[in-house]
Amino acid sequence: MLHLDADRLMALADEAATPAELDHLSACAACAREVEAFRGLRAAGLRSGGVILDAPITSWESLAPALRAAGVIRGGATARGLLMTRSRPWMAAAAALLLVAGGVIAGRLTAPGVRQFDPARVDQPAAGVQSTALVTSADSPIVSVDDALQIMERAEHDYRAASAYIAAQDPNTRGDADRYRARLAALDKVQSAVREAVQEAPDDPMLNQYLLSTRSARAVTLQQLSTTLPSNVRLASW
Amino acid sequence: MFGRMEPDAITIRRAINGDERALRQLWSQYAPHIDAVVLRLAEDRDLAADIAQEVWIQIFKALPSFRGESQFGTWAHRIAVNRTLNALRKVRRLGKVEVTIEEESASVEDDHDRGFLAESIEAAAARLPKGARTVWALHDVEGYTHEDIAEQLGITAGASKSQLFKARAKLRRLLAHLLDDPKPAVGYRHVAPGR
Repeated sequence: MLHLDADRLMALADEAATPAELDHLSACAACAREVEAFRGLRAAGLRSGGVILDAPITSWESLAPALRAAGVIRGGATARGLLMTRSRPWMAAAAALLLVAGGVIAGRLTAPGVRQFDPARVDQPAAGVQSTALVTSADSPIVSVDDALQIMERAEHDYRAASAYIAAQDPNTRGDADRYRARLAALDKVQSAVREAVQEAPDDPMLNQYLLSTRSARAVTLQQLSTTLPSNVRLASW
Repeated sequence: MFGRMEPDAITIRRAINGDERALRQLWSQYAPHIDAVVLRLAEDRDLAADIAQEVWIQIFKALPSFRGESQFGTWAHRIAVNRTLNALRKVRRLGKVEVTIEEESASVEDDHDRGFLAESIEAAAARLPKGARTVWALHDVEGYTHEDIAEQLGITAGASKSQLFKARAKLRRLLAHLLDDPKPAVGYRHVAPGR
């Protein structure tokens, strides 16, 4: 029996067989097996198009400088940050204020029992504050969104710990109703600014995070303010 | 082609505006696929790494022209293929496609192949002659026609087909243990006969 040409067997991986070829394939197991093998090979090739690398062969560390040199990455600040600064400087200022206010408030929350300034404690870690070195993002290169979120979470934790340490050494803020009122006024402005930004970009996780932090900080400050009032007076509104 | 979540319009807009975080997010999400495309077409890993970096710069430079008519991944994939072929042409490797294949000694190939049983088609493809590998990747993986390949590589459609068949013949030999095995072969599922 004459077999199909080798090139024709390979071509039948993705071409239709003629009636004569079909007749032959139905009678010749060897040729049929070869055609099946080449079709399997073709299918495997198509499937391999979906194969991805476990680790990219590019790295952000080498790509970023090239993108910067090419003008693709613009400046050290984010584009949104640049836009905020350019069009609404008060929004950028509000965001900066939020970072400071949020940190101080969180510091109060994470420094239980430390109320009076004690010079002997200045060089000692405050109660509840870890004395281990802060972990920076440089130790954990970001290669995924999950990495980034973890680093943000860790940074928040570190920031709170550092704020708590500083707050524990400062005797001037305890029970100061005026400071709490000033902070509430600032937080109200910040909240308003961030809420407006969230309305513009409702999916932005960073802005949503800021909004939640602001609300949380505001609630905590209200509680703190209430503790400065006489025992027979209750804070009804702000 | 891309099972992963598409980047949202805000991320794209931020990336276009030069936001490093947004750019990095896009790279992080798509690099495993885009870099794989480059690696498949290029001849070796070092060269592929260089080309892949150029590819990413090109993708991000072209980002303002991305109109969302196709998926971002598909759009970036096309840039990756074109840019890789351009780069390969520049290093004058594709010009040697036919010569490279013709110079291959069948007996030497067989000797090498005898001791090699590919566990995957990617591993087997890595053993193809350079030009044949590029043609095979463009045709059997990327789905280009011989006419497209001929235009891209500056060869004839007939030469493209010839190189593809040589690539398939070698892959057939390298993967014979999988393709001829009564167990499920590459690309196949055995279906139980109906009762």
